[in-house]
Amino acid sequence: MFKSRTLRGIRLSHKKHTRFCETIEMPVPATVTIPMRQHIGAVCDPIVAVGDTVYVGQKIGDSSAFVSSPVHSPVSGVVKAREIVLMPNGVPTPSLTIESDGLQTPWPELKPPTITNAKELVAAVRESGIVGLGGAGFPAHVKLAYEHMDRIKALYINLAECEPYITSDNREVLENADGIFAGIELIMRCTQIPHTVICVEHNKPAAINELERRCAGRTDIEVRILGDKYPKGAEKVLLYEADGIVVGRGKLPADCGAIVMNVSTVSAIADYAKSGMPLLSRRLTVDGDLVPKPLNVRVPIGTPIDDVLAFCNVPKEKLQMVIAGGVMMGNCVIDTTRPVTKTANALLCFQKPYDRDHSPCIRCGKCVEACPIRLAPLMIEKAYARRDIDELRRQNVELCINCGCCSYVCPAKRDLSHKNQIAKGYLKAEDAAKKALNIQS
Amino acid sequence: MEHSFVVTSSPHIKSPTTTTRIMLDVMIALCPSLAASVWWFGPRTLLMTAISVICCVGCEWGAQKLFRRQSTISDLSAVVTGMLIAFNLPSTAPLWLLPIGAIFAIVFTKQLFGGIGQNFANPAIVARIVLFLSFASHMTAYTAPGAWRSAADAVTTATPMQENAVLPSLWEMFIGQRGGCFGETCALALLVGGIYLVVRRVISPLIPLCYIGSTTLLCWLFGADPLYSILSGGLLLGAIFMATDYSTTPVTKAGKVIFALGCGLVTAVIRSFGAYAEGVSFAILLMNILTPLIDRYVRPRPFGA
Repeated sequence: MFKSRTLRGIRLSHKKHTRFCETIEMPVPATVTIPMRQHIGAVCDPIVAVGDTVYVGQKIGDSSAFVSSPVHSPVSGVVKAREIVLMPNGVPTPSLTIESDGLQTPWPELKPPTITNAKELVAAVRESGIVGLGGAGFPAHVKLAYEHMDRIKALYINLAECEPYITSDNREVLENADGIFAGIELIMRCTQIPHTVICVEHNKPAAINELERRCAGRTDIEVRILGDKYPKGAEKVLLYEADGIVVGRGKLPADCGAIVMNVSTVSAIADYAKSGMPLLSRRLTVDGDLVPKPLNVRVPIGTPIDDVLAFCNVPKEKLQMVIAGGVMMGNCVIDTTRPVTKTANALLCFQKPYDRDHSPCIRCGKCVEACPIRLAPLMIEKAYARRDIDELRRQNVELCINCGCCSYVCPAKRDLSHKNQIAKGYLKAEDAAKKALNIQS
Repeated sequence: MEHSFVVTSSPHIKSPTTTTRIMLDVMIALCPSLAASVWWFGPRTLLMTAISVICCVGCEWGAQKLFRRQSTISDLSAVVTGMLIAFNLPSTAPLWLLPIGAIFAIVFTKQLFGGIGQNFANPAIVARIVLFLSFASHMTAYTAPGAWRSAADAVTTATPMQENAVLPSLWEMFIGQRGGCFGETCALALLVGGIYLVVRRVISPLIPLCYIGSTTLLCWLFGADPLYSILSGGLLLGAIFMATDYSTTPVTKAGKVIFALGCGLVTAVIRSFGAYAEGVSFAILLMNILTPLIDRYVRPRPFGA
């Protein structure tokens, strides 16, 4: 049968208001709060004490675990407090608060790393504190440390940026294309990956132009233009639509011969290789109906969200909802005194959240039509309601990528995607309990 | 904390489509047929539709009060059911049939099974079958189209499906100039409504096309005129508006095709070999009952599973 190489998904209005907005540097804030975990993996332990003086780029937290990423101070100043901060994902995380002295004195021990082979690259990327900057925050060095690097056929650069509003990756291409290509070349040189495919949604003509101009005449790097149906930026969707790669159940892209990295992650690696300055700031798109002038701003990591909102003249008294990340997959900010983290690619400010009232499921099947993974969210919701483990397994709920398409299209406004996540967790907990029982007996 | 925020799980935006909007679209799509019925059978069809809608909404409200459920009459689904029940009656049917139909549709078929989305069969189909089997003489007393304009008493006419009748021409059938239940006669108006629903993405054309296609093919194989089989009886009304009811049809595309082919088969068999002239409502009811089974066995194959 004819097989089209697109997965299902939904059409969203792009709202890329900030695509022409050149990035503005935000001034260094008076205090920063650095959470010890801003990534997927083990939480870091603080390696400085309250009262210590720290410098720009100094490592202040690290972990002995491999799947983790150290954190650094973006300011010079004094460590004021060590406290537990509730992160937007609901996990309480130890954090250090640093009061800036305003001098921005760099850490004297900073020097560019020597990177000549894969091992040194992995060590350097780990040291840099770079995590996936697209939003998931998977430590970048873990991907590069894949043991069978010789089986990797291509590096895929994720420039889909399929969420509405966000343009921070798009701006990275327009403002730092040199860095992106330096990063790609560095990774290809060290890991011996023969080929790179830059995957970009076709709604970014300026970025596509720039990339194609630079790739002209090259055979090792190519640009692949994807449609603009959401969610193109999800790893599984991206790989399938770019090259027909199917990442099966429980597999990583690397098992299928591919490594996917976000475009800003790659250029951050190049910047670190050049200057030795770890990841200290990131570009944020600040948009939403309460932002008088939507913009892209480079913010030191750890800056209180309040400072960013004040910098962008957001009227806080009207503010009802702040989202860190995109409207489809981002997290709501509980308290705007909390810091900006490595993974936040946008801050979206809204006056009126939509009405969350929901009505009974009418079985219209729109969620089935919208799901890129071809799940049946309405069935999963019902199976979870009666805690039917076997049915949840038959429905393959663990494959859900939490893109939110099902919740978006539901005419009854049911929180299907949220239910999928709960059902996933339930299945996992049941499996763990079963395992524990087996061990006991 | 001096300022509190709304915190919800992602996604933080939702499509503008709502259940109410979908039901409103179905009501709009039924309007051409209602207009055609007024033209052919007189303003009494309007009165019948209005009474039926009021009865259905009243039953829904009353049943939900009784069962202490939150009222859902604002989703307009009871209005759609009310319109469909009236459409399945001849224009001369006594008005007291309408509340009986409403009670069977809304209370017995819908609310007793848990309300919208939980009903095992299309409420309007159940009402039609109950009325048809219980009050057959009232339900088949068809008047000649246009007769209401001449002051004379309504002349009863035979439906083209009954034997020994003078068959209307294909064109007359297409524009609805034939006897029958007042909402099912005008093929043109039903098609306009169906196209509206497809354009508004309320229904996928899959079920109507497979249903009408398979009925036509099988009727033709069984020796009937294929075009007459499309235009006669309640096939178009059933295929476009009743076999596409979300709650009682499978959710996957493959499931929908199986459902529609099953409807086509049952309809053609009843029409060609059964004791009843018309089989659309029985076909849809039977396939409604099979829907949970179809949904159980026809599952979408997930990507990467």
